[in-house]
Amino acid sequence: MIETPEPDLRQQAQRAGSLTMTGSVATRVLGVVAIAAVGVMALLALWISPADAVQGDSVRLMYIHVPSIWVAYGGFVLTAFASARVLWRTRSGAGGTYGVIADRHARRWDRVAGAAAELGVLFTALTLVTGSLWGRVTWGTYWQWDARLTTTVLLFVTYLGYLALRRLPAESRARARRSAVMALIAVVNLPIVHYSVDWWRTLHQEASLNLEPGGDRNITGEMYWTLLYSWATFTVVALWIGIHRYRVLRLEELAEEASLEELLAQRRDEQAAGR
Amino acid sequence: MTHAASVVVGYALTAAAVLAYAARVVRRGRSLGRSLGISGTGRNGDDAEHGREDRSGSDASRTPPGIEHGRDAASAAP
Amino acid sequence: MWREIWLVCRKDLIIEWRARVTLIQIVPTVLLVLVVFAFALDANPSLLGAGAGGLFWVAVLFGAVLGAKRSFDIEAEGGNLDGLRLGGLVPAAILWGKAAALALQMVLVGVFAAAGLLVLYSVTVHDWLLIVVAGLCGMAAFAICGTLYGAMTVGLRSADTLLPLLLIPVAAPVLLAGTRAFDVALGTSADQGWSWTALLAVVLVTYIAVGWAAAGPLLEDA
Repeated sequence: MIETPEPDLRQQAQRAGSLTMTGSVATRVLGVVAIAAVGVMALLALWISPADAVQGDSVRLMYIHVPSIWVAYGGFVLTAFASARVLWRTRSGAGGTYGVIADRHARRWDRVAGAAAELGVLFTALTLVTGSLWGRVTWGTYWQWDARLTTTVLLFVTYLGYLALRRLPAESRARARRSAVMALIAVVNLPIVHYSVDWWRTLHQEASLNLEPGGDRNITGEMYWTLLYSWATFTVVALWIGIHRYRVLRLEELAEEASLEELLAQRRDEQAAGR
Repeated sequence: MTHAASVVVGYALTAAAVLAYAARVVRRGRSLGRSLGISGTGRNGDDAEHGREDRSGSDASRTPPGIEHGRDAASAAP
Repeated sequence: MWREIWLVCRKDLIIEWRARVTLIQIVPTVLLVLVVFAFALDANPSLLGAGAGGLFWVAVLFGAVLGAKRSFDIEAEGGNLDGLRLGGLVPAAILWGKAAALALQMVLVGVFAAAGLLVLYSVTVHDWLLIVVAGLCGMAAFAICGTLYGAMTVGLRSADTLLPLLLIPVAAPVLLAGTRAFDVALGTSADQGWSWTALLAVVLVTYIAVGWAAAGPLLEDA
């Protein structure tokens, strides 16, 4: 008989699910902190920090635009790291039954990669949307073929593809390794994309003006601290949701296995009845 | 669009997107937890729906004798 | 190793020779894309001429997506990939053999597309060498990307619809650099054509390195 990977999976889920489905004491505390932090952030960003002399109130978009992309980058870095771990833990020779990941750590890293990439995509989308809004009121246009914007949209599409690949049904080992390879290719490709797009734009246009909200304009101390605080807030919120997402991924795996067991049991019953 | 309007739209969209995503995660977790019978808040009704599960959803009640670990379909299927 | 690569490559080329999917399906599709661009741009000769370099690469990129799909369709049928692996071929040999075959087919597609450019868009070539070198680098890069992502999606149910989504963003630098190099070679831009070709070469080398690293994880349990 093949040794069951992660035999205490269900017990773990039970323990985690004993309060709510995916909550635990830690995530509840984290949740309260996150909500309080968001409240304070709204005060700081919308009320206490001053409007910019040039950009006016639209500078406030910076406090969600910039932290969004930082959190997204963090998510993608985590995805890459987790993917490398998945490949390492499932490398040929490292124990694994055919089709299924036996290694508990590999399964965990695979979930981390999935959860982090989803948050990364969410926050990249928010970066693009808030950036467009900022662009509309500041440049008078939603979009500029600026190097950073173009790279960001390609980044967004790349990880949409990654998530689409993860969704396709397959045996867990193949799926995890395949997605891990894709995540690492995406990371290798990113500097190339950025460099080529950067070169493309700088060669064909006068170096674009200060296109990033905030950009290199000197910002006041209050703005600086609000930005930093917003970043911390976004990180906490992303962590909170990410942990829940990780646990949901675990439940999804459990459900998959449970339905497989059910099917096998049915099959067994049919055989017994037919005999 | 005025500057203030862009700020309102931006913040509202961000909040809505994050909330919608979080809600989706939580809802999915709830429904999965319920169908797996591991919910602490699960009532008898839930369990009755999935007759083979007891309150604790332990392995022994779910897995018929003979198949301890039916994970590997390739090797376990007849 | 080289012999194994050659065996896989020859196998793919023989299948292509017998079925002629690239020649009678992919090449016409690529030419059709060139024609459709003329519709989109109202057959305006100056617009078509100015955009010819980019339109060439976009058309060829579509061809590469189709080629990559085809390259792994022939393996998915009847568990051929398992056969190759059971036959003792290492994953890298399968990957590079298929990439080489795809690259040769892409060169064929590129030649036809270039001919289409000359005839349909009446462009004039100022620098043939630049066209050839940039073209070869670009086709090889497309082929490696296509093979990697083809291997990643082989046997999956929605591979047909997923492949373009995966392949096009990753091929964007090739598209960009190839377009710039061709614009220079066609005399529509005074850019640094050879610098862009150098970038293409860098991209190509990177993809080769990525391919070496990824062959094992992708193909040993695909």
